[in-house]
Amino acid sequence: MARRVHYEDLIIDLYLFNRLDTGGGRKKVAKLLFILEEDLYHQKVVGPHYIMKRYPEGPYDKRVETNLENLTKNGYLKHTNRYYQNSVTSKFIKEIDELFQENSIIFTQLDKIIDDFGDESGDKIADFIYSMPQIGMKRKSFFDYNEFEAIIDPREIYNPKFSFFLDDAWYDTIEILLNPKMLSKLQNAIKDCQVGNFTLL
Amino acid sequence: MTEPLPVRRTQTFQRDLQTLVPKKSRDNLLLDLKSISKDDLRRYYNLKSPKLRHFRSYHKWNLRILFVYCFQCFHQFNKPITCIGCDEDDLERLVLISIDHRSNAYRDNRTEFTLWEE
Repeated sequence: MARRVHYEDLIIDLYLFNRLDTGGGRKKVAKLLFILEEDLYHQKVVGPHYIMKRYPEGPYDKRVETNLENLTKNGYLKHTNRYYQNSVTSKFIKEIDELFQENSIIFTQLDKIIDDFGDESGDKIADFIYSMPQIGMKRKSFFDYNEFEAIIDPREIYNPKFSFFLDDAWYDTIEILLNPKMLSKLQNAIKDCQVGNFTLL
Repeated sequence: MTEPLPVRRTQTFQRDLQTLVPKKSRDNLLLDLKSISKDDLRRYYNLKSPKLRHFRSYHKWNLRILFVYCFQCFHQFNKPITCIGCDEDDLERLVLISIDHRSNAYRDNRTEFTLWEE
């Protein structure tokens, strides 16, 4: 069986950027995702799968950066001094609106976080996190966690009330939608249908 | 209906078969596809989203084969109706669209900046 990819994380990243008018760097994005995971953790809900550890600049998972770079490389985000949505981002988000309705518990929470913190800088959001007396799995302040210790690990949510998890139909759909080569090939295949470029089996 | 449906392959499918499926496995795959009946269709789910919902997904090994049931092609994404392959009086056939490797695309690796990789 092929390795399963956490497309759920990419969807959440793109949803976030679709709402962030001013874009964001990896620090800001990681902090917003941390706050989302923190809120969901207390509800025993699994959203993103980032393992947020204590880094010198706040809670972070290196895969946040990898995902943003990959999404940019493939045209789903643009990058100058920070990351921004582009027209491909919004088209993708519109295309999978039904998925957001099915998982509204995650995206409604993300909407609230964006409304509260979306205009703030990464540093300010980090300061907010540092000021919280209890965060994460061990319910202690950020500075009481050891360096590189996991603050939130979604894998530690046992028997979650809800989990953002793509079923087979959605998984296949997202895999194609997030792959420009596959999508382009499919469009050419549709043209084959329309002009009758068939072979009988 | 348990009778196998007639099958057509697009050129895209044909190219994918040559490039993605090892020679020794091709006959096996085609045999499976040729045996799909109308009753079997309900086992193969449709993709989601407005753009892709007309395609059904068939999995074998690490492969995903997308196909449409000719009835869908004719009535759904083929507006205006121009598909030469779909005979309006005979819409009971499968159209094999493409083949891809499932989840072989994304690598969680800083040095590989593409979402896909062959």
